[in-house]
Amino acid sequence: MDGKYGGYHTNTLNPTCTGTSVIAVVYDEGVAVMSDTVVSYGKSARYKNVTRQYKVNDRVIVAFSGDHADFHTLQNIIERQVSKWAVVGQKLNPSALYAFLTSLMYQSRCKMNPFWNTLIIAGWEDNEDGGKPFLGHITQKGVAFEAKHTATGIASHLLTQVIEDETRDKTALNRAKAESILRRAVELAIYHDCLADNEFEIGVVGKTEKASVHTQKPIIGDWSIAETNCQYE
Amino acid sequence: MSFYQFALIQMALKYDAKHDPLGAMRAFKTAFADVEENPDWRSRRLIERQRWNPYSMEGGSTCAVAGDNFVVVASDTRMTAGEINVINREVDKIHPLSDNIVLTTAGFHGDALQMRKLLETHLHKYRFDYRSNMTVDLCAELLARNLYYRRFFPYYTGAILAGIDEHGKGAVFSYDPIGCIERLPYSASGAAEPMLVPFLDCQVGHVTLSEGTERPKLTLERATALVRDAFRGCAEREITTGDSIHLVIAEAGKPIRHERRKLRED
Amino acid sequence: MFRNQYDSDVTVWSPQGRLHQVDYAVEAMKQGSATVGIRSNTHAVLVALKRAANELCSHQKKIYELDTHCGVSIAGLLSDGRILARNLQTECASWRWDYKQPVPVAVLNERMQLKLQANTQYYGRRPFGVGLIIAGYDKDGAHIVRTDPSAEVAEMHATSIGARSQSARTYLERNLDKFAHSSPDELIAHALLSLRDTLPAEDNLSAKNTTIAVVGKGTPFKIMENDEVAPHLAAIAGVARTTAVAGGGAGGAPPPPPAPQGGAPAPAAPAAPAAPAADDNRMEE
Repeated sequence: MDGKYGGYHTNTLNPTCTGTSVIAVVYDEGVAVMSDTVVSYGKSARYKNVTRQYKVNDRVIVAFSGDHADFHTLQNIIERQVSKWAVVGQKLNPSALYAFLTSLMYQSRCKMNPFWNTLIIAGWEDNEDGGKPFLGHITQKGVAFEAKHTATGIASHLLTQVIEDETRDKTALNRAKAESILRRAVELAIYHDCLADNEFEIGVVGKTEKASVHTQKPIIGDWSIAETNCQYE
Repeated sequence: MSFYQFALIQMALKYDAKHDPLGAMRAFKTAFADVEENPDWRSRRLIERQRWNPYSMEGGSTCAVAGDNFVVVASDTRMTAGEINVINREVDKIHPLSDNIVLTTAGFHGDALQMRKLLETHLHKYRFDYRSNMTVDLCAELLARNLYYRRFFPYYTGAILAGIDEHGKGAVFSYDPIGCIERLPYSASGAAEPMLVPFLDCQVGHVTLSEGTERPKLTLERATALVRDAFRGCAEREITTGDSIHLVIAEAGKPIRHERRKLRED
Repeated sequence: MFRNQYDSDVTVWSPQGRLHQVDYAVEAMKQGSATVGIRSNTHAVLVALKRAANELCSHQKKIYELDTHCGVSIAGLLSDGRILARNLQTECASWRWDYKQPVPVAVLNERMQLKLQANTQYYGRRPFGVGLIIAGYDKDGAHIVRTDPSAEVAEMHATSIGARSQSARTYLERNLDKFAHSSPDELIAHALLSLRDTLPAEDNLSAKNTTIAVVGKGTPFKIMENDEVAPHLAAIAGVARTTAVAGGGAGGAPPPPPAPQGGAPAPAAPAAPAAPAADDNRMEE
């Protein structure tokens, strides 16, 4: 421990290969989660076609932004939880996983050895009254909250407003509308976030849909405005 | 540059280069090698500065006012990241722990969640160990001890514990982050604390009211109205407070009541 | 009771393939005062008979709350039972700590099974001289679980353990098809009637010696004692006692269950699934 670095550098406190924003929206009978499929090393798009959504079971999806390696570890931990529940014939439900991961993130923060991830837990919560959608957000430091829509990373700064505008007129969204909001968000993300990619996935879990992650057609966007930039060639 | 390295270089320079040029060179080389071995960026001080900060502040404010047989607890429902970014508008920062105990927080939300879980667990266990429910005084003491337990890695929660005590009176307990505890007639914490406290001092405590001014008795209606006014004022002036106000009202012998009012959302 | 040379420790087998120490522990359970558990599709009910050692003594505590959604009733060595109840309480609290949710009853079964079994296998240990009936309600519905010192843990529709509990089981088996759609009050009435069958003719249930607990959909686990028990006893007071003796030889239609508070008429009962496992062959040795 107390090596030549004075005992300070024993924990990794910087991310290495990272994923950028995740955006998720609750609709009337489920939750839709969007994440792009690039993992960056610094500013370079190091790995393409990497999924950042983990289907836990047919009721829960966990998506992440932040360090990819840390998320692999988390996947492992989640997998162990799933089998722990399976032993007694239970199916891990989203709110239990949310509570568990919140504690986990908080505990590792307290050890000054954080998981460098922001997690989005999307799922369908079965209950006696037919169930309800679940969307939880957990930060690296163990701050957790449930929401109707949420975003991580740069999207939480840039795009929550866009999503909020779309969802504000309290009429319930349906799946198609939710996905179109997410597509719009991807388009804005690729304009503004240099780490974002136009190849992306949308994960869906709902009352009737079992959790599944779908690769989407890449969005090209409209770059005509670039012509007006005199540095553009 | 550490003090040690600095001393070495001083030593090197003290050599009289004219009479002992080689000695000076030797000392210089030693110092240089040492700096190379332990460069500045590895020094304790710098690492300390760059160290990851385990805290984050989610903003928001909260306050509690105790009356003869009631207590009003209020909090806004906004959650922010880094002062300017609203990440959620509907977060509950007031945590009813039992029929007569309410915890409210404004600060680092991760600690707040942990603290709530801790108290809930203790309350749950207490029922089985003592076959009765915990009183608010006991819970307040418990919270103080738990805060002090983390004296050197504090819960940054801005906690206030409120409730109805065993005599049916409203109780408000105020804390500092490391467990200093005080029972007060009213208290506030969070980002807008500097605005809430003078207002409550004047209107509830009547300490800054000029002489001869009417001093109305604190009824439940007056308390809720004052608290709402206080939050409307804060929402105007404090950026991390807003969206809506969540009121939790505990009255002796009645179940806890929740009330929500809109605040400005910008 | 003393049988032979093969009962010096739980690790000693008898040539007949029995573990006598475990059998003795089961006997201890059978000497405890009786307790009954019944469930419908939405509720589970426990009733227990409390003993008082003498007039100056308070009645023992037979039913423990474990969490808001489950509780346990004990027959046998109550001091052993208290340890198990505390253990279950801890288990409930720990699940809550991890997942902020009430623990599924299946998890409790698993833990209890492991805990009980360990004491039947290792040298120098003593099996718990106690049987439990766990009542709980979770997202899989209502549960009644019976455990005994041999670490047999089984889900039941209705069960009874303790002294003269065979009489109660006779009642339960006869009325099994009515339970699934009973209201909580009807369940309590059935449970009390079956518990009453375990009493000798000169005894009767009273508000003092009876405990009732109920849990179910929209009903957190609630223990009723004394005054709260009285109305439920009054509800069954009119039903004549079964003359059947333990073993249930005497025929005769069982008394009709009272229907307090106009519970929905029970629709045709489903084919009784898995009746309480044929009573353990040890029971009537």
